[in-house]
Amino acid sequence: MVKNSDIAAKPILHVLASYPKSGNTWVRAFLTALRNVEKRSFGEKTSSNSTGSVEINRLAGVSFVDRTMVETRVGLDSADLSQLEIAHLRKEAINQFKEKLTISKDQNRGFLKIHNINAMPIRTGDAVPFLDFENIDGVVYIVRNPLDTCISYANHAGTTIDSAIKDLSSNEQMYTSWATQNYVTEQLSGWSAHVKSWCKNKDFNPLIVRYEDMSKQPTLTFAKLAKFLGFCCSAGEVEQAIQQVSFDKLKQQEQKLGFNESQINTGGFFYKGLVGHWQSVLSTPQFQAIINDHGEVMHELGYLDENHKPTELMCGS
Amino acid sequence: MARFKYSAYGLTIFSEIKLSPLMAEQSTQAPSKKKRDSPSVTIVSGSVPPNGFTDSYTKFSYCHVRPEVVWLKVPNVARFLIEKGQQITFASELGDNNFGLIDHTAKKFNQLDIALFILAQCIPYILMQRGYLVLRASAVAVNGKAVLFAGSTQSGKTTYAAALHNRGFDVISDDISVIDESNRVLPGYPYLKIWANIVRYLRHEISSFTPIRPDVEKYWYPLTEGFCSSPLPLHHVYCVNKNRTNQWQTKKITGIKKTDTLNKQRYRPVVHDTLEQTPLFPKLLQLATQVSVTEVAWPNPLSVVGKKPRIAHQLQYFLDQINVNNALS
Repeated sequence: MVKNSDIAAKPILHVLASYPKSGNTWVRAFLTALRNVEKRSFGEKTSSNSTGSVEINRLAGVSFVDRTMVETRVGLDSADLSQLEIAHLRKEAINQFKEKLTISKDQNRGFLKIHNINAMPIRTGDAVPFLDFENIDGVVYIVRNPLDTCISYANHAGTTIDSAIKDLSSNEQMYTSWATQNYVTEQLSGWSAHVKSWCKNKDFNPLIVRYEDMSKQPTLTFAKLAKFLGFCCSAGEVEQAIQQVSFDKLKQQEQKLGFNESQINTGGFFYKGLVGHWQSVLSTPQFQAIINDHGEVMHELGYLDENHKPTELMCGS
Repeated sequence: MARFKYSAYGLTIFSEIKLSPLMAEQSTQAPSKKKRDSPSVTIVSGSVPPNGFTDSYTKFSYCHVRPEVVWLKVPNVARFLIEKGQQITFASELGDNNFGLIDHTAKKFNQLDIALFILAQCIPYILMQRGYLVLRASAVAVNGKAVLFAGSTQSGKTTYAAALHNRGFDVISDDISVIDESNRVLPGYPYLKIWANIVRYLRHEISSFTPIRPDVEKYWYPLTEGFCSSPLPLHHVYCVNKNRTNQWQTKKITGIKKTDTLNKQRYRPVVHDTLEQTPLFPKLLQLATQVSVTEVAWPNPLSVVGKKPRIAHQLQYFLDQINVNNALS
């Protein structure tokens, strides 16, 4: 493996964007594992635990949704600021984060986890992008079919599937932690609007990664992801990293040690992780409501055929 | 030219602009010879560098710190220079409109914003420059002693202060608590700034409160009654954190860990350490021998369990603690 710091002498910041419960954490776990594999090949210590899985409470990637974290970077108290002002501070905090990425020992590479729609909060009418994209070196957009997303989202939010379906179709949908209010509110918007905002943006050309491909063709999909992000690794090393982040391993670790990104009142962050879970859970009206809301975008992503019938891609094996 | 005079946190504040209609204005006649030695702060408009200092000891995007000077910028509101514990200079960031005209409504709101940020963010730095211990905490008076609720942004400090005020306890300060050399908590401003959901919890009509800023769902809550205007000895510090689980955890801190826990409650410690001339550790160590410290972690006080906000149970915990302490004292 070629050491990345030999190649990249400048800070590199990639965005990992997704609607919640679409596989963002899985990608971050994989990147953490890949870093560990990379470090081990150079004899450095890693953060993986004794079971060979990555430590889920020390995953690669920051989100700057914690207001205290933003305040610490910019040196300004956010207590009396509006959501729009806080969103601008977050943008500045992210720029500071990139500026301070060190340029040695592979620490020059940062990942930014984003659930925000690619726009500033709609309510304020502010059209300024919420990120300084000239500071971003690439965008990965992780997407999962909304039929499975809404089931996982309902579990995550401690709500019903019908309520989750409404959330996925609402362009006013906001996203904060359900556990605390100490969070920068992210504007989620509806699922279709979210996908379009990231995938149809002319300013950058994102790598679109489908959850279903990560599940059904992991080696191919994760190798493509690693290459896009500039990791110079072998197929064997990708395979090693994939093994470390199997859904069962991550879920077991959450049950044993807890996960500091989970919410209260839920059955755990790592829920089922299945492709095609919708086939046994959603009622026909629920299925139809989601197709009515998101059929066009689902078709574009290959989830529905030209007759708006589900393709193999989003069905379980 | 100082047109307004106020008292807060043991300071006499002379200001060119009105700081708050909720603070009592005093006569601006020249102080008597005796009073000339009392700590005073002057607030004036003037020139403030647009981009801060190039040679700061500590530098964040909007806050640059030298040992005796802090430069602070609130984007689109104003820039501030806070100097030597004595003077705050502000420069508005409000520009003229496209026709080169001044928008008087915008100017009025800008001046209100400037006053708000002077009180909320500049005065704490003045107090740090004067060597006070400044904690991120709200303080309530209980039987002639101060009980503090310390924690980070939106940890629930003001919620507990407001709820206890509603139960008849006097508030000493909100958000920022200042400890003097005799370990007393100094009275802050006679108001709270509370979120809409707290106003609703307290069963008040939201329409009867004024928002602190047009785009912020936070309201001025005057303490016309129930404000403690005298310093009180610090008795107990509750360090409140919101928990990510449904678990409710309280932990009494003892021994040397108390100093460490109190140290973590400091307001902007990095700035403090750049400004501070004398180390704070001995002061914290001495304070730790005299006060009780409890760490409390529980879910968001305004989240609901059953149909009741959790704060009802959490408040009962504090009231029980207060009763226990009263019985022991």
